[in-house]
Formats: sequence, structure tokens, C-alpha cells
Amino acid sequence: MRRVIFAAISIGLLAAGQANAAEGATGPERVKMTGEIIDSWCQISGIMGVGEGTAHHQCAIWCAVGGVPIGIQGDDGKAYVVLKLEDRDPVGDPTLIDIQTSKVVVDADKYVRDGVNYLVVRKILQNSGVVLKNDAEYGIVPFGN
Amino acid sequence: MTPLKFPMVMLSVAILLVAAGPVRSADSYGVNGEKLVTIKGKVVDLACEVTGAACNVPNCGNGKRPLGLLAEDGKLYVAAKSNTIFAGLLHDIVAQCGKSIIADGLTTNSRDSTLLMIQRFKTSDDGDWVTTDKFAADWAKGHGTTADSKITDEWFRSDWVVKGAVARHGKLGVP
Repeated sequence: MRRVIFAAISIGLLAAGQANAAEGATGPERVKMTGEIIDSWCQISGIMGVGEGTAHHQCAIWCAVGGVPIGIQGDDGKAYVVLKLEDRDPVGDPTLIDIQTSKVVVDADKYVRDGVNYLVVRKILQNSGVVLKNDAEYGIVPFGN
Repeated sequence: MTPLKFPMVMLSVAILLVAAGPVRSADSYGVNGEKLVTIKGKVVDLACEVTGAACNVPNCGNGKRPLGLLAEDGKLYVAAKSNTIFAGLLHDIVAQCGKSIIADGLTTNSRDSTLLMIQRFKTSDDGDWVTTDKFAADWAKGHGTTADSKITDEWFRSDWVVKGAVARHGKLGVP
């Protein structure tokens, strides 16, 4: 009887563990996504207000050069951390530095784990250039000379 | 409690507090969904960890790939921000790739994602806290100045890569 109870408890714990793992991680899911290249820290933390568009362009370059993870603010309202860009490592990548705050369409593999969205970008399909935002609609004037 | 015993109890509590040493806690930044945290975990290559791909990348990419902190409870954090203004954590923790650290900082959450700022870390329970400001120190060395100079304080205004990018397409990205 003890063995039966022990086995039942073990199976239950194993199943619970697998359920947790499944809950915390999904992907890869192939997606075509439209969004703005962002510096993830400013955008998610909100420390600079809303970190988007022309008004945030220079700050985004600073963060990209400083090694803050680069992200994409999707048109779905979610922020994604970029893990790879067209098979290149993203930190310090000259292309990513140059296209900060630009609107892009990407072909990517999407992952979700532990409350964070990730993208492995296979290809940038389209780059529409920097998102134009003026002070009136932006509501904040970022610092910087 | 007699009048004599009360001061003795207070003295004992004070001695215990002093013996326990200074209590470290992260500084609040008042950011979105902020939680002050102390996390024990392993420094990992974020892309390898998330994708589950067999990675043969030495030393977590030597500072070219995003890093994560895999906590002892299995939760993965994006190691995003250091104590140096506008700088990430690569200079601070890439040397700890594959090793366990105790990180003190905060998490911020919005837009359906969470990031970790590590303000200080130590490599063992009884080790010394290390402030995450190595980016500034390394930048100073690479630019012929000192870590405590005003130029380093505002490294982003003098950085050659930043200047090159701004020269190409302007401060607003609109040449």
C-alpha cells in the first residue's frame, strides 16, 4: 500500500513539474511581426516616459552602444527582446544601432519564457525608417545634447 | 520585565544587529512594476537558454550576446541593466558565465515583459558585493581617461560609436 501511495505522489509531483515547465516556456513560433526597434530598458521600465520614435532616437543609440538588450515594440503592444538578428549576435551590431526607433517588419521565431517575450529575427523584411513623433504627441522632451 | 532587564535586552539586540553586518538592499528607481529582488542564480547565454539549442559559444559570447540569470527555482531573468547610466551588464557579469552569483537589484515589468537590473552582486554568500559599474571603468580605459572623470560620467556624449551613428543620421534619426 505504501508503495502505491509513494508512486501516486511521485507521478503527481512529476506531472505538476511538467505543467509548470509548459506554462513558463513556449516556442519557437514562426511569426511575421511589425514593430519599432527599441532599447528594451527604457521602454519596459518607463524610466524615460515612453521610449519611442524620433524623440527617443539618440537615447536608444546610447543604450544600444552600452549593451542594453535591444528589443522590438510590437504593434500588438508587447515588448520583445531580440536574441539574434539574421544569424548575427545583437550586442553592438552596427545595423541594429543604426535602425534604432525605426519601424520594421520582421520574419522571426517567437519564444515566451517566464513572463518575457523573445525574438530570433531571421530577416528584416521591411524598414520604414524612424518613427516620427514630436513633443506634442510624445509628451516628454528627452535630455541630451 | 524589570527596569534593569529592558536595557540589557536592547543591548543584546544591538550587538546581534552589529554582528550580522550591514543589510544590503537594492535602490528603488520607481520604474514600471518595480520589485526589489535578491536572486541567486547562474549567469547564462540568453539565446542558448531560451531556444534550447545546443550552443557551442565560449564564454557566453564574450559580451556580444545578451545574458540571463537562471535562478535556483528555474526562473529565467533577462540581465538587462547595470549601475552605469545607459549601460547593460555584459562588462560586469560575462566573466561569471556558467557560474553562480547572488544578484541584488530590481525587476521592472510592463508591455508583457520583465527585465532585471543588477545593481550589485557577489560570487559567494560570504563574498563582497561588487557594484555593477565595470562598463564605465572599461570605457575609461579604452578612451584614455579615468573611471571617475566627468567624461566617463557622461560616456555616451564622447563615445566614438555613438558619435559615428549620430553623424550618419542625426540625433533624431532624420538626417
